Amino acid sequence: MTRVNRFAGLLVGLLLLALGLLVVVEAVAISVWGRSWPIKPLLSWRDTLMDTPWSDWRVWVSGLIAFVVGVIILIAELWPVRPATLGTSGGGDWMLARRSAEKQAATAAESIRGVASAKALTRGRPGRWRLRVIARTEGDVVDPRDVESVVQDQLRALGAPEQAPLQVAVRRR
Amino acid sequence: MRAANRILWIVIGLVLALGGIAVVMISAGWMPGTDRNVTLLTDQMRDRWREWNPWALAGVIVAGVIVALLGIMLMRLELRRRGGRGLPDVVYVLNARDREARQADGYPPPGNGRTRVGANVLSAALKRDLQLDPYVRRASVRLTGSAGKPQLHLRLQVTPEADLSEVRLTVAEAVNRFSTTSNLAPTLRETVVRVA
Repeated sequence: MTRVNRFAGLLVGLLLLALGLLVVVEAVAISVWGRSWPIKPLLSWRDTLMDTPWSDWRVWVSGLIAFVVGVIILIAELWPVRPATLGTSGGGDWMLARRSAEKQAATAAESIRGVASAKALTRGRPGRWRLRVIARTEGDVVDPRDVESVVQDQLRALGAPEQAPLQVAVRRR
Repeated sequence: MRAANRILWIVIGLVLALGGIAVVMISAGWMPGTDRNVTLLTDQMRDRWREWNPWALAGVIVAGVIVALLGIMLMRLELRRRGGRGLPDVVYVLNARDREARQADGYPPPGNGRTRVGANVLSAALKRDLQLDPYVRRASVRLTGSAGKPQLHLRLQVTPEADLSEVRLTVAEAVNRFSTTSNLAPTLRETVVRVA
């Protein structure tokens, strides 16, 4: 989302710059030469706006498109996004990539005999996160405490904060 | 920047959604106090524009300049890298004490020159040093701030066997060596570790 926002912000900046320059050029052209330049003459724009009532279907559709685009942007921005980095016990300047933490925890869980596959998901904020590990078995009996122990060791090696809660679930595939 | 961008897009989304629904409601005749049969640009508006000329035109030019400047500001902000401006080249000049020390060590008297070292050279040196550690697969170093107050931003790609406490020691030692060699005392602002 951060990259998308940044790229979109760059586009909006470019659009504002182009729009601002176009308005200045048009206004100067009208005041100096008395006619519009360089795009479609301003008078035809004005005539279109003076002939089009609010009830015109194009106005209705334009409003609807703006509304839908606005709602999509709002949903995308307000949707909770998982942080890219997680805090570590080393303090605020040391961060761990979230995906790495999840992958390492899952790999550690898969090292337990009987665990066919594992999935790890982090939740919370960068400074206060928790991990949930779901280990799947083919029917073998696996003690969740064993999984918890190896994942804890892995998290310790990755410098996870001591208070980072860990939740382990063992399920049959 | 992340939060600012998010706020910017929430504002854009709100403006579009509220503006769009207002247009739909006026167009459908559901907005009280509005007339859907009125044109988008009325004769009164045109007359007022003529009345206000040339000030209206001047106002439009000023508004255009402001919008263009806002666009430039936004682009500059979006293109700015994390951590702010990069460190400028560092210039070393021998002070009187250094000169005396060199002469006392038996070296010939030094000239009055200055030595300029590019920040990218300094970053590359620290990067190489960090990558010598067997746990560190790749390192990316960015120096920001000024020569008097440099700041360090690190991105480390470590091996799955790495122990972060050991990597932390490696970084501390490498930064110490860097400080001794470069005569800079950088503050570690951010270190992002990725396991790969």
